[in-house]
Amino acid sequence: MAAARRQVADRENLPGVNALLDALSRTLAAASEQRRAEGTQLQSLSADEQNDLAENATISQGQLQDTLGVYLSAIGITHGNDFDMLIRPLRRMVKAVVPDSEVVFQPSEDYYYRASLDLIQVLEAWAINNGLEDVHDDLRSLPRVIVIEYPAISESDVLQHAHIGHELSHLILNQPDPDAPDKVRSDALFERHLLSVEDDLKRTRRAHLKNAPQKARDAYAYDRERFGKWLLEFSVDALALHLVGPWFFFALTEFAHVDGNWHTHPELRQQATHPHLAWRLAHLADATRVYFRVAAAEAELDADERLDDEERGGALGLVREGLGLVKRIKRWLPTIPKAEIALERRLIDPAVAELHANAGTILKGARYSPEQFWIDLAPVAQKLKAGIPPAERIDSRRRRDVIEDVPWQPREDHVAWSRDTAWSSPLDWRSIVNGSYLHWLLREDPSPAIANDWGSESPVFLPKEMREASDSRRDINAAVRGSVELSELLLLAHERREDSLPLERPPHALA
Amino acid sequence: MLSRDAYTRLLLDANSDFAITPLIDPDTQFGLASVDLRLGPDLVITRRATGVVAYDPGDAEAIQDDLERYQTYVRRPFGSRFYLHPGEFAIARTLEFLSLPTTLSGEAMGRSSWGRLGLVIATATFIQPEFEGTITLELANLGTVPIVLYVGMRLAQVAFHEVTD
Repeated sequence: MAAARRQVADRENLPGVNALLDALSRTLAAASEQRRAEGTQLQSLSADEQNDLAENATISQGQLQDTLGVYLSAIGITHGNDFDMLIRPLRRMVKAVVPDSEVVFQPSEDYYYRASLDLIQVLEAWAINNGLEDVHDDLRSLPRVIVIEYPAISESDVLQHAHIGHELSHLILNQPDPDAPDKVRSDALFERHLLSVEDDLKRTRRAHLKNAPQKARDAYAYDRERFGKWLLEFSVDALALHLVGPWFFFALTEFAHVDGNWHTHPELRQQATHPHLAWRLAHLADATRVYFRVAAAEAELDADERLDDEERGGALGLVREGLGLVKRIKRWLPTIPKAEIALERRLIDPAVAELHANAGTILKGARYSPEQFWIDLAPVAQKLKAGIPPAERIDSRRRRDVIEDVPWQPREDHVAWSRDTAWSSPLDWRSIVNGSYLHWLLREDPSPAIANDWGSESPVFLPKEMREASDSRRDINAAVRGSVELSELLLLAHERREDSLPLERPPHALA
Repeated sequence: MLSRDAYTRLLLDANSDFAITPLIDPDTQFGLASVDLRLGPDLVITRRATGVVAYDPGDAEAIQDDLERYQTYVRRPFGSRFYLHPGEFAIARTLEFLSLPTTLSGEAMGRSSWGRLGLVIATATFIQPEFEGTITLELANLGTVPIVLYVGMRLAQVAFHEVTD
């Protein structure tokens, strides 16, 4: 424990690990105290009672050891340097939707993203089972610790980390806010929509299995569960779009493009837990187009401003071309015959539409709105065009002919500094990733051809080297990581302005 | 050399590709003819050599091994302390990313007040036009007393010059 503590003590980028260590040390201290008390008690007990006590102690110790294994695995493998700059913004996003939580981001040998439930609960259960109510209450006061795993192989591939938005959405839907009105509670919403198709689902199964009622009941139960799971997947996709923006749609498209599963399974194999990826992408494509359209509408509202699109770095052009790209991706997707999924669609389409409409309420401060996307796209695009990392928005950055003769003068009174009067403000990290991704897809690597074995259905819209370890991909990932890091440093400096006065003072005093 | 008004005008010009980003506090960072730069979070610390060791440019393979053996990369949080002991050497980079247009060159140097404490800050001081990146700082404590440095502290300064045909 002491060694683990020393290892992470000064790493403020491991808050989740520190919270786990806190929980662990409190529990271990309580366990050792319990053992000591039992040792004292032992002498006054009969032989049978002593045996019972020893047996219980062994069981309790075994349970604690199992838990230790889980914890040590979460503590022992920490994220690498290439992921470091994402910790703060991702943590902010998680805390906005799951308050009183901490996150451990962990590279995994698997090829998928996964979010685990609260790890502290495991120790809480142990404390209750061992009659340690005080320890249980003590543990309840700690933040909830969530472990989000990502493929170690993709650690530096920021563009793929949009899938964390999907995993986080799973956590949000798994733990609906009990105080929220039914309208925005996912469990209530799911139940309501499932009820609306339940009768038809029963009827369909009965019609298919007239002579085997038990089989019909089993099939109905299986279908109901499948419907629920599919609805969940569509719902988390929808929320992920509102958490991280169009970045999620492009990341999922890349995943599908590399996977290529539906091309080797032309029958569009459907799974019990996940709907077909083509269908998920088609849904998401429609939602992404709406997202872009809202952004474009914002752009139209800005039309009377003196900035034309060239001065905005071609931001409006990016939005319009982004719309076109989404449309082409949708055309590339294998079509699922509507008749095959008619009933599923009756459930999923209205339920997901309702989730989109309520995304703001469900995601609270974590929502990344199309309006924010549009506001930030201009400085991001402008800077990328000039080869500058898009980290900060400088409001007084203007066209040369409108810059004042003496554009800026330092203020004498540093104490009067406020975020409103600051030289610049940090750009939202999601704007940096979304803008850079779009810029890369549409500007940096416009080669329309892609080699594949899929015959005439070639996806002729994706950049040639998408998802390959190309120089271009490495460069854009490095640029995004660097820009997010700079933007976070600026944010941190603003947040800690009062505390960071020593940074301004020495060695001034010596001058 | 560019005056404060001149470089500020360029930094605020939306058509220019001149940038120093992020600028945490221009009130303190902008000098009359220079901009203060801050210590970034990445450091490469050189540990004291034990035994008979020398960097020998004639033996490229050995020098690489020695560098790996005696240099350690560390990343420190913003605002955290870092001790530079007498005789110690560390490589750091500025917190700010610089992008220079074809018409500007730069010159990075230490701030004199640090020099009076025995801290030498940069040796490779010239910045070519079209440079893009952070400035590498070679920190050496030539004094006899340890110096405490904070990540984010104003450590160096850069002056800009117009490049003409």
